[in-house]
Formats: sequence, C-alpha cells, structure tokens
Amino acid sequence: MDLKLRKKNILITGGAKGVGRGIALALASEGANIALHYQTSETEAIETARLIEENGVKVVLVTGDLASLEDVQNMRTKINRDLGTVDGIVNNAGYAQFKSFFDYQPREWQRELDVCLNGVLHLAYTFVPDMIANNSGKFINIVGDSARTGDRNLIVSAAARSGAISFLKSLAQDVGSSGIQCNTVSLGLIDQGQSFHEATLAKIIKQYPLKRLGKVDDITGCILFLLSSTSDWITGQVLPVNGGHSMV
Amino acid sequence: MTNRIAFVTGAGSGIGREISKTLALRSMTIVVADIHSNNAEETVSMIKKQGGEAVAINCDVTSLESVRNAVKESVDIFRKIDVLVNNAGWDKVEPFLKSEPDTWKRIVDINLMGQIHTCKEILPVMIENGYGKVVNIASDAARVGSSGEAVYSAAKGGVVALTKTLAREMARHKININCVAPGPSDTPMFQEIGTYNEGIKTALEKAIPFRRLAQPEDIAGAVAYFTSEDAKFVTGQTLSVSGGLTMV
Repeated sequence: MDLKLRKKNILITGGAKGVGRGIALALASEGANIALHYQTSETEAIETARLIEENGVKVVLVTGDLASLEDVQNMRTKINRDLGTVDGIVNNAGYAQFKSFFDYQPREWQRELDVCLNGVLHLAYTFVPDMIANNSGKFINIVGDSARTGDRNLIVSAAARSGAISFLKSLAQDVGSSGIQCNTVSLGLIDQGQSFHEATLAKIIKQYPLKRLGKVDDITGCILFLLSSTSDWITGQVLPVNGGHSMV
Repeated sequence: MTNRIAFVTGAGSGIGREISKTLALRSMTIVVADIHSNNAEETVSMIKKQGGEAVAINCDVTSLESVRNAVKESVDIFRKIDVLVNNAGWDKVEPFLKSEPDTWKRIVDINLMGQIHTCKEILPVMIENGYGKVVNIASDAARVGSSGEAVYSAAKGGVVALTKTLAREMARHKININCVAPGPSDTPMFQEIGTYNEGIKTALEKAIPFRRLAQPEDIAGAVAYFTSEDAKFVTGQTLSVSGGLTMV
C-alpha cells in the first residue's frame, strides 16, 4: 500500500540507533527523505545514514542539542539548504535519569526538563512555521507510558513528557486550521539490548498483558500510520504502543 | 500472507461500508453483516467492483441468536474469522429528560449488547484459530460526553471498558482488541440527526480544529491500522479520530 511518503522530508531526532534508527529505516523504505539528528552517537549516525541511502532516498545528518534553541535553528538552516523544508517530525530524542526524586541534587533535574519538554518547544517553534506556510505537516512526539501513569524512578522525565503531551494538544488546536497534525506516541518498555537480571525481566514482563517487551518494529508501524495519509483526521491524540501495559 | 476474513457489523452503509472497502483493499475477504440485507448486498457489489471478495450475511446484533447464526454461516463458508469490526450503532439525539425507556433499550441493545454478542460468538473462533484482531467502534461521546446523547454515551463508554477488559483476558491468546472513537462524522446516522437538529453541522465544524466533519474513510484508516501487523503490540487502547475536537 502506498503510504504517500515518497519524497517527503522527515526529521527524526535521536535517530542514530535503536528506535530512532528503526523509524528512519522504515520511513526510508517508504521513499521518504530523512533528516537524521543525533547528538553524540556520530559513528552510529553515519552508519544509519549509509543504511538509509541504500533505499535510494536523500539523507542529511544534523547534530545539535535539542535543549538549545540556537542548535535547533542551525539544524533547520542545514536541512532547508540540503533537503528542503520539513514535512514531518518524529521527536524520538529524550533524556532520563532512573532514580527516586530525593536522590537528585538541586537542579540536577534541569537537563531532563530541557530535553524532554523544552526540546519539543524548540522543534515546534523552529519547524512548524514552515509547515504553516505549506499548509500541511505532521509532528509526532514519542514519550514513555510513565508520562501518563507516573513512575517513581522516572519522576522528572515523566513530568516533562506529560507537559509535552499537553503542549502538543494545545499546538494541535492552534495549527489545526493549517492542516497540521500533532500527535504523541506513548511507549511501553522497548527491548533495545538492555541487560536485565532474569528475575527483574520476568517481573517486568508480568505487567504486560501481551507478555513480552516491545520491539523496535512494534513502533515503526504506528509511526508510519501517523505520518501516512490514512490518519489525516487524527490530531491531538496520544497513541499508545505498550503491549497493554496501561489502558488509560 | 494468509487470506484474512473480516466480519464487519453494520457494514451496509456509512462507516461500516467504508471500513469494509478499505479492509478489502488490504486483501481481506469481508463478511458484510447488516440487518438490512439490501444495503449489505450493495456493499458487496462495491467491494467486488474494486476487485475484492465479500459476502452479505443478515445479522441483527441485538439478538444473540441472530449473531450466532450469522457467525455459523460465515464459519461454514470460510472456516474462520480473523478480524471482527464491531461497527453497528444507532442513536436518537434528544435531552435525557425527554427520552423514553424504549429508546434507551434500543440504544443499549444496538451499541453495547451488539458488541457483547459478537464477541461472545467470535472470540472462541479466534482462540481456536490462534489469531484475532478486534476493533470496536466507540464514540468520542464515550470519552467526553455529548449533550443529547446521554444513554448513547453510556453505552459507548461501556464499549471502551469492554475493550480494555477483553484485551486483558484475550492477550494470552494473542488476540488484540482496540477501540476507535470517531468524532462527529458525515454518515447516514448523522444526516438523520440533522433532520431534527438544525444547525448541528455548522456548530460542530466551528468547534473542530480541522474545520470539517469526519468522512467515513477517515475512520476506516484507523480501523485498518489496528487490524494490521503494524499494531501487533497495541491492545486495550482507544484512539479518537476526531479532527482534534477532543483530546483526552
């Protein structure tokens, strides 16, 4: 089925490896041109770019800290010059510390807020005006289910991402008349090669009705759907991909 | 890929017809289940015209016996049912205090009991077959309420809760059960409401960020996503397709 993604320019943040790489390759296989963002994983990003090119599409590598508006604006300059304006954004980048709130030092939480919430604001502020000018665009933000259910060890990043969900709903209302869709994808725990103790893993899996962790290609389907023309009337929504871990 | 059999209720018109046509385009054979046989036959001809396979089967979802017969007839022909789309629905929009018990009963029988009946009869077929995808059509009225639709919203709220519990119970059988919640849609049901509620269309178009009602194909895209392998890690969820009218 033609998802009508051919020659669309899609920016994927945190795209060097794992979920971001999976999404980039899935989109490239549908004919989309990719602006691939990374912050530190340069070697992996170069390898992902090579794999993207094998699909016969264009790829532009951009680096920067999403917590910095200036970096994000520089990314736009490079993408617009080398690829053209962005038709869709998949914000996969994030930053979280796994610990209890009272184990934080004062201000140690700032980076999580800057990446997970301000990063989304920076992307929207920088790229959505081009979408308004084009009268179409799709903005997808990826969060963890903790943003909706809470998690005592992800207490700050969950709060920041919950803020990002709310931001995207308001933005969806603001830019809906320009034909721009803003949606959130909420993930359960994805198997990205983390090394869990067997007993810990069994305990985690018990919380998933589908009795397994997510895989990278569990997520790509949802992203393809939200970027395709078959979801054109969906906006301001949170779409979970979580094996039934939460049903809110 | 195996030829999938999809049982779609209320498939003789509106959203059900569009869902059937969309699933047929994705190589599924459609059981067009409807209480109005002429309408069902019309849908079948449309599917055949686009090169697909379908049969019309009479089914009154308010009667467990009728559903049982329809399921038996389908299984006799195709040996299995892979996909169930519970789409049949009906409403009469009026203030709750002016509504009558006969209307309440009809609304609950069609919108909630109908889905309970088909699940009771079809889930065992899916369990035996080792494969199943169920998509229940709810309504945004279930999530945010809707003046003039008190009992309808209650029945559809029941559908959302039924979806979550059945998703938990069926996960061990690898059956995914999800819910699509359409916003106001341009369907025969909505046109019927328009005959006695003037001005509702204009008022809604003003309130929807995308400034239009849903077309049946907008809903069909979301249903197709849930029935696809793209959504294999998604279960127990509700997706609003509402042009941004509601964001919960």
